[in-house]
This record gives sequence, C-alpha cells and structure tokens, in this order.
Amino acid sequence: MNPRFLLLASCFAASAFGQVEAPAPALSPSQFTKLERYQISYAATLKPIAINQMHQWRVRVTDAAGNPVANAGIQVSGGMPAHDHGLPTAPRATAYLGDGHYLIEGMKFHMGGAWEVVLTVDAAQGRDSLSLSLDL
Amino acid sequence: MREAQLHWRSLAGLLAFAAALGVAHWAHRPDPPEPWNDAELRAIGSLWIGALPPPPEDPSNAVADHPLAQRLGHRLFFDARLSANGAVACSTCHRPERRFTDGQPRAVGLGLGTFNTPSLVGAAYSPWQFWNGRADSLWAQAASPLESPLEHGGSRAAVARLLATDAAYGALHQELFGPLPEMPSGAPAGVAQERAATAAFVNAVKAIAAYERLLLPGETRFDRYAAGLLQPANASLEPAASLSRREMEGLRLFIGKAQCMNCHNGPLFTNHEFHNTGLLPDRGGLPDLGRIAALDLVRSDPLNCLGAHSDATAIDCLELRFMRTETGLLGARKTPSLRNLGGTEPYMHAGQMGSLGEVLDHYNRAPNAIIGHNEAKPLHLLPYELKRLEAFLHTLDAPPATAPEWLAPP
Repeated sequence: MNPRFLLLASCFAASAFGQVEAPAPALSPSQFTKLERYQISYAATLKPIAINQMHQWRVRVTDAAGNPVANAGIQVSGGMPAHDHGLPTAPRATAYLGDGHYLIEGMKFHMGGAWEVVLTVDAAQGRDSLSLSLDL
Repeated sequence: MREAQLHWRSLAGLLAFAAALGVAHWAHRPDPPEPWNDAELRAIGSLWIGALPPPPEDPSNAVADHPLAQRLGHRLFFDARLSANGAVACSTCHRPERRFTDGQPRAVGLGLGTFNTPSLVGAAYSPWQFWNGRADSLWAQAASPLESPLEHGGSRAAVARLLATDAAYGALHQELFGPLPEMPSGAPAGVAQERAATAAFVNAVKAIAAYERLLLPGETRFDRYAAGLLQPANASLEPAASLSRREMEGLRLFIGKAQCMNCHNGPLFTNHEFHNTGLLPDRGGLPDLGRIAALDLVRSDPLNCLGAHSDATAIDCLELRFMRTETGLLGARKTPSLRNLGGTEPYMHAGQMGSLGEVLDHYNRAPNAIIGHNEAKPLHLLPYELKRLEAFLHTLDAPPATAPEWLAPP
C-alpha cells in the first residue's frame, strides 16, 4: 500500500469526523467469523454509541492466524430483529487504512433496543460474515 | 361582642376551609404511584429539551446562520409576492400562530397540495425535509413549493426579479451575495439568464432557510417536570412543574409498554427516519409510495447537498452519500415530532386524522399496511390507557423559543 495514500486516507478519516488529532479508538476483542475464516475487531467513533447520530466504525480484519487482510470487500448490513427493519442508512467501507484496518462510514441507529450488525468479508479465503449484537 | 363572635366564627370557618383545601391538595399530590426507576429516568432525560443541542450546522448553506440572511429570509417568508397570484406566502400554510401549520388536511396554495403542512418548529434538526424526505436541506425544501403550480406557482426568474425590484431585498442581497443579475421582464432567454435566475433564486431560498433555523421548540410543561426530576439539587431552577397523575401515567406508558419511543425518541420526539405505520391513504386517494418514491428525487435534485448550488464539500454530505435505499421503505414516511400537537391537527401525512384519539387508536390496532409492511405491532392498550397517553401528549406544547419579532411579518 502506497504510504502517501495511507496518509491521505487517515487524514480523510480524521477530518470526516472532525477529530484531526484524535488517536484511533481502541478496538474490541477480535471475534471469529461464522466459518472461522477471519477474525474481526471493531471500534465506533461514538462512545458509547448513541442513537440518531451518524458516525464511523474502524474495522480490523485478519485471517484465522491473525495476519492482516488487505483490500477485502467489506459489506455492512443489519437491523433490529424484533422490528423487522434494517439500518436507517446504507453504511459501507470507504477506505483501507492499512494493517487490516477499514473505515466504515455512514453508521447510524435510530431506535434504542437490540440491534444486529452483520459484517461480511470477501477476500482470498472466501466469503464469511460476523454478526454483532448491540444493545442501545 | 356579638359581632366579634361572628368574626371569630367566620375566621374559624375560613381556617377549616383552608385546612380542607390543604388536605385536598395533599390528596392530589402529583407523585406517581410508583417512583420512577433508573431506566425510566434515563428515558425521561433523553426526551427532555435540556438534552437538545443547538441545530446541527448546514455546511450546504454558507449563510445558514448569517444575521442578514435571517433578516432577508424573514421578509421573504411572509411575502405573498413570491407567488403567481400575489396571494401565497410561505406563511400562508406555515402560520406562526398555529406553530407554523395551517389546520388544513392538505396544504392549500394555488391548488390543493398532496400533503399535510408540517410544522417548521425544530425542522432545522432534520436531515430530511418533507414527509417523504425528498429534500436534504431546509433550503432545498423551500425551493420546491415556490415553483410548484399547486403552491406558490412562481418561477426562479420571478423571484430574481422581485429581489431586484424591491430596494430592501436588493440591499440585503448585495451585502450577502453581491450584485443581482439583470433579469428581463419575461422568461429567461438562454442558458446564461436561466443560470443567473437560478443563482438568485438559490440565494433567496438559502436566506429563507436561515430564517427557519430560528424556529426552535420552547420549554413545555413536560420539560419543566423533567428538569425538576432530573436536577432536584439545582436551586436556580423554577419550581418543578407538576404533571397530573394521569399525565404521569401517560408518560410511563409512552416510555414503556406503548413503545412510542421506538420512533418518537430524543428531545424532539422523533428519530427523523422513515417508517411504514399502515396508514390509509387520504379518502379516495391512491396509496402513496412514501420514502421509496423520494429516493430518486433527492438523489437527482440539483439543489441537494452534492449539487452545484451547495456550499458543502462531498465529505459533508453524509446523509445523502449513505442514504438507505431498500424496499422496506415502501409506504414509509418521516416520523414527525410530537412537540406542539395541540392546535396543529389534523394529523398524519395527508391530514387523515382529526384528533389524537384517532391517531392513538390507529397505533393501538396497528392494522396491516395497504402498501408495504406495517412496522408497528398491535399494542392492546385499554381505553383508559389511551386516554392517559393522550393527556401526556398535551403536556408537550409550548410557544417556539424564538424572539416574538420573528413570529410576525417584518
């Protein structure tokens, strides 16, 4: 990965949420995807995650052995299982930040309660997904 | 002597009456039968107006908070010359004395509009305007009725000419945006004139948006009650307003088993999102496709956040760039605020319901949607519970927290 691109991408990430000098948020403990092809950890720029506020996530993807996975296709979906509805926005990965880190923009939740966020990774090891449960 | 006795007797009577009043007052002390638990207090705190930040910035409108733009917008808002027949102003439907609504089921301008006139109080907080969110800013919203043949029936060139012919407008425009273009008396001839007319028109609607950003919700009886509840140690607060027992029980239902807070959350009692709640169309009308029909409109609107007339950079246009587009939005409409329901009937997107009782009955039954899928589930509340909810909803009214001079024509 071109270091100038990385620098640009992280500037983009930082300015997009107005925290130019903010350190990267601490990532959650990593979890295996359903078929155990990847491990995923994540952090939201909102702590705690509040409803009705657009924010970003930083997601780190490694293979099963813990090596960072670069340039994977990342899809984000989710919703509230109890209400049969999806996310209020269409978030997506907008930048690869290096070392297995991806920037997800457009995250938002619009109700309190139990949410499910599904992160799907598509890379050399195949397609696999992780379902995260959030209680807001 | 006898007179003195009489005096004593009436004094005793008065004291007994006062004591009885005291007892009566005590008996009606508005404490809830059960104290609020922590989760309920958190929910009440999340609805309290004290939790409302200032309106979010609008990077797409460089004059959104400019005092001169507010003045220009104020004049334009009340100016009926912004219409084909000289009789329709923004304030014709957004009437200040009715919390900027009009009391009509559907807006009446030059013709009969499609939707119920929504209030403008607190509209600056919403990322989407109109019931289906077909505009992504207040200024893009303001542009639409001006050109609609059913509302103002105006044109960009006519607005540009008005700015040029009215000295006060001309001066304000000059100071904010620079000189106005020369406009011919007829329709614009050629692309250059059309562009010039559009530029002046966009300046006008951005000024109207700057004015509308001043229309903010005021502190209601519920807010005073919540403030007292949440900050009992704060001596500088007014004595906590009380809610009646019925209103408090309504509040308990609102934040609890009536599930209103699923959508009507936050200090504006709205999540600003789109939901299908199984409403019937206006009598005799076809079902409205709701949000799904607005997606292409807002995406292709030249006045959107990403368009040439926007002052934002693409990075600011998060709502538009990450807009949800799936089919679950069929028949979905924007959650309205529940502040200021008093005097803003009829309700719903086409004014289908004349009373809060009808609205509550609808959500209690949660009928199947005529188009798409009703996200709400039946609540099985009893009639007395619906009455309590209604009583609570009436504690959410207050005049806007806006200086009175902005609420009348300049």
